[in-house]
Parts: sequence; structure tokens; C-alpha cells
Amino acid sequence: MVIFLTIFFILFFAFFYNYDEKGPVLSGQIEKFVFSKKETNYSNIFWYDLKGNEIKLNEQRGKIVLINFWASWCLPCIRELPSIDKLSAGLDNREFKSIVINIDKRNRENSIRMFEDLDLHNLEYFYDSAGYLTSLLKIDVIPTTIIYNKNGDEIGRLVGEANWNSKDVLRFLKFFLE
Amino acid sequence: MIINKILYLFFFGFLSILQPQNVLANSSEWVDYEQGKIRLIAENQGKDNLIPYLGIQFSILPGWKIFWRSPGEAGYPLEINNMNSKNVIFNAIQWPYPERFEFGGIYTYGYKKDVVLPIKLDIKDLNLDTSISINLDFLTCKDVCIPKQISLNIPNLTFTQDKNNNIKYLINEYLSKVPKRVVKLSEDNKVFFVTNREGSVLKFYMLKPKIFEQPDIFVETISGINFEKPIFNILNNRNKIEVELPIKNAKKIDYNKLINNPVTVTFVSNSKAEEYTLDIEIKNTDQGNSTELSTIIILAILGGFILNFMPCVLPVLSLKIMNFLDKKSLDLPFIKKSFLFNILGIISTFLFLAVIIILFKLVGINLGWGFHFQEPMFTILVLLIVLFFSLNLFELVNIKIPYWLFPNQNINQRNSSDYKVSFFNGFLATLLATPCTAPIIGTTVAFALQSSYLNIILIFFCMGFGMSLLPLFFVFFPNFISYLPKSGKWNIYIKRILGSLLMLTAGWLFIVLIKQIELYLLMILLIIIISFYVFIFFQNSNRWKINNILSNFTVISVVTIFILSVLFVNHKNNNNLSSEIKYVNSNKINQYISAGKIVLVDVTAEWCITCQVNKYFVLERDDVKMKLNEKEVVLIEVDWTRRDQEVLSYINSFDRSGIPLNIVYGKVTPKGIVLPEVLTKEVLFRAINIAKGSKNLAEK
Repeated sequence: MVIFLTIFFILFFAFFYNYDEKGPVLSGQIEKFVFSKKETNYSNIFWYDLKGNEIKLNEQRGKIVLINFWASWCLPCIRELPSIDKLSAGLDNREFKSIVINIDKRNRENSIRMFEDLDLHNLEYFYDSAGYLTSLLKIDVIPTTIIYNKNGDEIGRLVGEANWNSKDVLRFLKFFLE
Repeated sequence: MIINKILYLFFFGFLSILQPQNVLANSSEWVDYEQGKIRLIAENQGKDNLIPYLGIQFSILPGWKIFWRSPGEAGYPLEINNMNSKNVIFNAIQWPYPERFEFGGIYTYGYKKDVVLPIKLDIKDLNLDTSISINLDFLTCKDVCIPKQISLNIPNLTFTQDKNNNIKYLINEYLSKVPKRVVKLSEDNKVFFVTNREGSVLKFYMLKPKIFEQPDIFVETISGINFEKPIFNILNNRNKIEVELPIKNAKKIDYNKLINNPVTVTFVSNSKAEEYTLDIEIKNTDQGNSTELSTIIILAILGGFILNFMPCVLPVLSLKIMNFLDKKSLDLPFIKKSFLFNILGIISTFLFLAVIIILFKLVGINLGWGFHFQEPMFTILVLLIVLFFSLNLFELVNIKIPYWLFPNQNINQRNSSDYKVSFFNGFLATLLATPCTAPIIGTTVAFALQSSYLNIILIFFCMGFGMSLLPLFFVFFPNFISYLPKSGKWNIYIKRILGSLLMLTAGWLFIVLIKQIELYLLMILLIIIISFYVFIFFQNSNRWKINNILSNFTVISVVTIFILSVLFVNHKNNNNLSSEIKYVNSNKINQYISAGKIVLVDVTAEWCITCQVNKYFVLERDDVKMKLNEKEVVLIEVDWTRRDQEVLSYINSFDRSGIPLNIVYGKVTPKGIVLPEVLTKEVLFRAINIAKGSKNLAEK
């Protein structure tokens, strides 16, 4: 009887425990997040830094990676960049990494100047060369933010502006970090 | 959104079935792009029976927008790429004036709902078939931004006469919104770049249009500067408008690009727009006219008060206070009255100076501040007074100088002349204060000299009042003196310190004098002073006491060493000092500038204390000297120790009436940047960088 009851309670709590943590909560700032169904071929994903070095998503394996696409002509993008900067500041960079990728096709100097004016301390300027990544990942609306899990698979993406330095986002990310 | 899309598709699909293709020959089909729809329309008939205008017609869904040719702080304008058009040449897009969109202090310019972008066409040969096939690249934004590429075509343009033409009407409606080019905006046709404490602004003036409604201004610069919302000030005479555009991120501007390229200004009022091309000119910080009289009055009072603590004034007033300490009992009514006369002396001297300035102004002579120190006789007189005063404090000169000149130990016997002494004390303090042009006084005096006679009197009175605040304190609280320790040994030390301050003042006056009069006159003066001193020495009953001889010897040797060293140094520096003004007024500066050099003009005078302060703290510091010694910077020093009308008119040309005056000329700033009276290294380097047209002002 005792054993039965114990098993019952364990099952009961396990059930409720799972129920609570069944999945990440998409509410508030992250409401518009859409989970990915397709598998990603992450080995093709790369971008460039200011020196022209190719940087691969593979190098960030073992971390949750947030990739945000922005452009100098996109006001909502510029508005949300500081919140991504703050989000990165608040999280351990061994577990989480934010990458912001500029997709301007001309006048890169202008976008670099703009980026510098934003005075972001936890983000680096990266760019997508000749629309490679935007067409590979089928990004036609910006801002678009994609989140990759520790294996480099796309968890999902959010199209539009969000306050990334918010409780909603943190709660969401914590789920994948743990 | 999907429903919209389906509706559009359905609707236009339906239309295209319904209407035969030839009626729509001069327009393309609508292309739906989710956030709106777009098509080409072409005018059927122009003046010359050509097709003058093509229109790109947008019908944009609520909330979405597209951008003007200058999108503001984000966005990009539509671009046309010719694909396979035949027999046609596209001219530039005629942009209708835009709408201003704001979000959290960020501005973008563009269009929402319906807009037509007209383009003038040139048909190569009327006898050939004409077709249009273009690819449009544009951006549409709401809470996200979506770049779009859309191809549009009109396969066969027709040239039929059609009087009832909706397309023509539609295109004309938007052509009327294209800003009209106006060649001359105002008498100067210039935009002024003004830097003040709050930041930098572009400023220009225009005539007020008859209907001044919902005005807005869009300024386009080659360096892509962003602006805050414009501020319109209707000026006093009611038909002029002052437009101010605060510059965002002014520190990061590429001044070289800004100054050397004209700006395009689009002015919108009452749904009509005009466009001007204006040159930029760097204008100095607003002074005077923008300052309110009330702030000037406050500054005058404050400045007057500060004058009390200038090294040349402090001894005069402190001695007055100390005289009362010698008294056995305080006679309060007497102290009160004495200070009242002191105040009277100060204020009447200020008023006296104001009257002199006004009188000279009436004759047409603009006296600068500190003008009396340009008169050698005055300098000599003050020098003598200060010198004897100082020696008196060291108790080296014990003869009775005319009683009204100095208050001394005899003050215990009071009589009516005590009040004269107090009055003279105020007079002397004021006169000694004038060359110590404190920064605040400089501004107020500059303001005063430029305004009406009544204002001159008012402002000088306020300075006098400010300076009187200290004695006024004793008028109200004469008891305060009794809290000071009675005279004793400390008293003697204080006297010595004050005496040294006065000695320094005398030394400084002497340096001023060297610049003003010939050397032999100076020598004669020195001989007279020394013989007088010796005469006094023999009058002294204690003359052969060791102490007396020793202190006299000290004074004489210090004075001699000082005079000799000053003469020596001065002799070295005295090579054609007065000729620099010729450089300044001639083409010399222009020559330097066109040779790519920066010119720093420093107008200075020996009697100008602030100038000496600037020299000591800025101009003669090692790192500044290094910068000035670089081949690209030329320093021209203009000396105003003696009165010189040419120098004064140069100073006046900058709306200043006194010195220090420092101006930086360069390729970018041919009219010169006027630096503030009190220099700092940062200000100087910044000005030099602006003059150079340096890209990054933050660099040191």
C-alpha cells in the first residue's frame, strides 16, 4: 500500500512538474515567436566580421545563439538593437551569444557609423555579404530574429520588433539554457 | 492581411477581365505587394503632344509607408531600373514634398496612403512604338521593414488625344506638390551654422509667406546630417521668419563636407512647397542680441561682486575694514556712514565711466573696456598711488600723504574728511577693478556697449551695485567688525600680504607702462620716484635703525631686480609688435588660409588680466605650443596695450568691445571662429579642428 501510494505521489508530482514546465511560454514580448518545424542545415550558416573573416554558426556550438538581422534603413531594427545588447550583458556568454548581422547592400560605412553611434558594448558588427544569408534563411522582412539551440538547430524565429531585454524573453531563454 | 490580399486579387482580377486592355493602354496593371499596390500610369497628352509624364502610383495600406528621396534617419527611396523599355528616356523622379513621421524622437520622411511619383519622359521618336518595362526597388515599413522588388510594364504607349483624362489630372495633382525651385531665398541666401551651449543648429531667415500654416522644413545635406524638428520664430517685424534646426549628434559631423557643400532646403506651408539651395556659413556663438537684458543684469551684479576679490581690488577694501579694527570702541553709526560713502564712491565711479563711454559714443568713438589704461598718464597716476599705498603698508613711507588720498592710522580722529576718504576709496577700488575684466564682466560690458545709452547706464549701475554688496554688508551689520580679532600681530602680517598684492599690481602697471611710453620717459619717471623715495627715507626719524635700513634695502633691491629683468625681457620681445594689425587687416590671413594653414589671431594687451591668464593656462602650455608650432598653425598676436583705432575696429567687427579676443581662421572658416573670452585647451583644439575641417572632432 505504502509503495503504491509513494509511486502514485511520485507520478502525480512528476505529472504536475512536467505540466508546469511543459514548454517555453510565448507571451508578452515574445508572443510573435514561431517555432521551426524544419531541420536546419547549420553548416551553411556563416557571416562576416569587419575584417572580412568568415564566421560560422558552428563555432558557437554548445551555446544558445540569437541571430538578429538588421539594416541601417530599418528603424524598428535600430530601435531594438540596444535591447539585444542589454540581454547579452545580463547572460553568461559561455551559454548564450547574440549575433547581430547587418544586411545593407550598399554604403556599409553608413551602417558601421550608425552601429557605432548606438554605442553597444556587448555586440559586434557583423554583415551578410550580398544577401547570402537572408536568401538562405528566407528572410524578407526585418527585423527578424532567429534563435538556435545548443546543437545549432533553429528553435524558431520572431519577425518584427521586440524588447529583448524583458522578463518574457528571459523566461523563454532560460527554458533552453537549462 | 491575407484576406486583403485575396480581396485585391479578386477585385483587380475582376477589373482586368471587365475592362478591355486598350482602354488601359496608358497604365500598367496594379501589382499587389501585400502592404499595398502599385502601378504605372502615363499621361496621354502633353503640351507638345508628347507623353511628358509617367507616374508611379501607390495605394498603401494603413500604417505602412514608403520613403522620400531623403528618407531621414532610416529607410531608402524608391529606385527605378530600366529593363526593356523602348524608345523612351527616363528623367529623374519629381518627388512631391514628404510627410514627417516621428517615433520616439526619430524622424523619417515619406508617404502613406496614396501617392504618385511623377517622372518626366523623353520619347526618342514619335513614329516608333514605345513601351515601358521597369523594375522598382523600394522599401516599405511599419513595425517591420520589407524591401520590395517589383516589375511593371506598359507594353504599348498610345498618343491619342483624350480631353477627359483622369490620369493627367492625377499626375498634375502630385506635380503641384513637387517643391518649386526658388533661386533666391533672402538677401544673403545662406544657412548659418551656429554652435552654442546647447549644441549646434542650422539657422536661416526667410520671408513669411502669406499663408503660414502647418509649416515644415526638410534639409538635405551631402554629409547626411539628421535634425530635430524645426523651430519657427516669427521675428519682430512680422514678415520674417527665423528657422532653427537643431543638429543631432553634432559632435560626429564631418565639418569639411558640411561647409563646402550647399544644402537643399524644402519648405512646406499650406500644402505648397518651395525648394532652395543655400550655402552654409559658420557663424559664431550668438552673443548679445539673444541674451535677455534681465540675465545681463544678473550677470552684471554677480560680476561686480566678484570684482571685490580681484587681486588689485582686495587690498583697497580690506584695508578699509582693518582701519576700524584699530579703533578702541566701535562707533556703529560712523562705520555705517563710512561704508555708505564707500558705496557712493563705487557707484558714482561706475556711472562716471558709463557717461564717458556714452559721450565718446556720441562723438562716434567706440571706447573698449579698460580704455583708461591705454592712457599713459592715467597708468602713471595709478601706479604712483598703488606704489605709495603699498610702501605705506610696509611702513616704509611714514610721511603724511594728503589725507584725502589714504585712510591711515589717524582715522581715530574723525571729521568730515573721513567720508571723503571713504568716497575716494570706492573710486580707487573701481578704477583698479576695471582692467581685471572678469569673464562675466566682459560679457556684460560687451552687451552694454552695444545697446542703448539707457542700458549702458543701467548695466554699469548694476555692476556698481554688485561691487557694493560687500560694503553694503557692513552697512547693515556693522557689528560684524567687532567679531574680527582686534589688531595685533596678525594685523601686521595681513598688511604685509596686502602690501605685496599691491606691489604686484604696481609691477603689472609698470609692465603696461613700458609698452605705452618711450624708454627715456620711463627712466625719468623712475628717477623721480626713486629720488622721492630717498627724500622720504631721510625724513624718517628712525632712518638709521638696522631694521629700517634692512627692509628699505630689500624693497629697493627687489624693485631694481624686477625693473631690470622686465626691461631686459621686454627689450627682447619688442620687435615690431605694433605691425601685426596690418597682417590681420590685409590679405595676409587669406594667403595663409589658401596655403592650407590655420591662423590663430590673439588680440591681447598688457593690462588685460584675463589675457595673461589665457596665456598662462592655455596659449603658453607645452602641448598647445607644440600644436601652434606645427607648420600648419600660424599665431598672430595683436597688441592693444596702446590705443589703436585699427585694432578696435577689428575687435568691433566681431561684435566685441573688449579683449581677450581669439579668432581661428581656416579653409573651412574664412570668416573666423571667435573663441570665448576665457580659453580652454579643448575649446582651442576644437576650433582648430573645425577650421581644419577635421572629420572627427573627438580626436585630441
